[in-house]
Amino acid sequence: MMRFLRPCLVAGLLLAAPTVATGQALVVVDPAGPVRTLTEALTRVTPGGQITVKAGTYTEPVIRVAVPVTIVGEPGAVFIGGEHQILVVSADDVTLRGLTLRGGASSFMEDRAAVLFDSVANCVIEDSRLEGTFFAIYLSRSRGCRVSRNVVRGAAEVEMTAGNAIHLFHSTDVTIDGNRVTGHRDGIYLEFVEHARVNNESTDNLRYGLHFMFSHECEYRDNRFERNGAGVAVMYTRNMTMEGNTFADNWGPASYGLLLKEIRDSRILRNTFRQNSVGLYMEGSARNEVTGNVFQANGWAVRVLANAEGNVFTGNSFRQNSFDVTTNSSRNVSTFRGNYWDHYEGYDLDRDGVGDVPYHPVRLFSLLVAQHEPALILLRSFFVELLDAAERVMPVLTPAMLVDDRPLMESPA
Amino acid sequence: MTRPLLRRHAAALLGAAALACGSPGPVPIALGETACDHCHMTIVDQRFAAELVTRTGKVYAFDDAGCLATFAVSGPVGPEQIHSAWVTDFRLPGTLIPAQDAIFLRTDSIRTPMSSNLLAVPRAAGDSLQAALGGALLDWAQVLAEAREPA
Repeated sequence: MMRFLRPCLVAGLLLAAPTVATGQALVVVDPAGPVRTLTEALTRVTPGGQITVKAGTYTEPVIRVAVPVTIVGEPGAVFIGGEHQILVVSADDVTLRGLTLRGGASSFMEDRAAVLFDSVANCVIEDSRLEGTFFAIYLSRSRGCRVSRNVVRGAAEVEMTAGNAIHLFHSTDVTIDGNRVTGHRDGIYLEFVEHARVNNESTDNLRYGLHFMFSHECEYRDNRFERNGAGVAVMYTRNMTMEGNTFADNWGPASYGLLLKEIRDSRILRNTFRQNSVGLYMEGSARNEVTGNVFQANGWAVRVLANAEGNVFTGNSFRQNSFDVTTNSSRNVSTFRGNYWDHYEGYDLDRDGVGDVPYHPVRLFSLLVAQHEPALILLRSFFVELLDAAERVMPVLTPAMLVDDRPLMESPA
Repeated sequence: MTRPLLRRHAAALLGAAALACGSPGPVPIALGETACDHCHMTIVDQRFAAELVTRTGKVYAFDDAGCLATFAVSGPVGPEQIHSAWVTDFRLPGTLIPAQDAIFLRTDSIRTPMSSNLLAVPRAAGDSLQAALGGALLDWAQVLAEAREPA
């Protein structure tokens, strides 16, 4: 008897070993089987292997990814959310690609995300679609990750309870690029994040297109931010590079192209601020370099509060703004030098490209409006024109130090 | 004919004016439109919204109870001008309750817009919220004291 059994046993072990002990390097999930769910595939795949998800609609309980794996969705592979997250990743080196994640109930008790990366390294989510989720992609305490070329569309236009599209918390060294995010609370939100690189399109979100809180040493370049409820906010942050971005069409009493609060030692270079209620707002911000930007057709191009110190504005172009610069006090310690102002009425007799008389970019009327907003109704009145002209000739109330003594005759950008 | 009509209009106007001049109190916050008077962020999350009402009836709005506390102790409105402070009952977004009648749970499990992580509920509901979420309970006086001397 034993003699017959033994070969069977050995053969059985040989067959069982690859699936149980080491798993398969490639597992295919298909509604037609044999593996019908991603949850099951994850129990079969070998660490470092790949799972391919065929077209189909998958509704599963929370899918927990606890092994390093690459999950690739073929076109039409859709995962449906509900009162829980769809994917929770807790292993390093996980790549998600080409998936569609749809729906998810909002929650008052948790920041429920379609995909949560929790305390991992080297994670990737790319070329995926997230539609109508509460929070879409959430990275918590993670590092070395990349979020690329995803399309994230929320339903925030109808719902005040929408979460953020791409949300980072306590994470470092993350690249967020080529994504298109829209219809969420904040398009991209970073809190306690360091060394993030951001380059995306973020439009039509409820609050901010991009929002940094307590995040240092980050850079965002060549992003497009349009029609977000309140523009972009960078707060309590130092050593940032903000370059080549477009901030456009943010209209409203609390809307800004770019809102800076408590920002230090940062660079704002070659951006375009177009058609915003306030183009650039600076409060409590110090030692920032604002160079080569275009401020066009804004209500207020630049609003610098008196508590902002040592900011230097050079080589910027101010065109068609109702107000070029405003502040809330006659004391101001930011420097404007060598900018182009289309409201400048001076001359250049020595033809060196620099106006011979200084330009005072703060209109007296803008100070009045800063202190008493309803006065704005007098914007086009003859009396106000007169007031401004008198103040230009003999500045008494406007900040004496806030002057560009080398105004450019031609726009540099 | 015009006289009585005029008189009636005048009466209606006076009535409206009297209503408008009622005692100071909180007002509903237009979410997505109102900016926090302390941190300037737009208020979108109803669970944490707060207000400060002055004796003259001016209402300041906040996105986080922490912003309200900081504003109350160091903002442009002096203590003698403050009529009342209001916070949202975390369990009933949209319902403002007096800050002094509230108890505040500071918890790691829920994050507020300005990271004060303070959730307000009526005093009687404090223990059950603490049991559900964990964290420490503070009363309004303690929240103000913290705002005076940040950790």
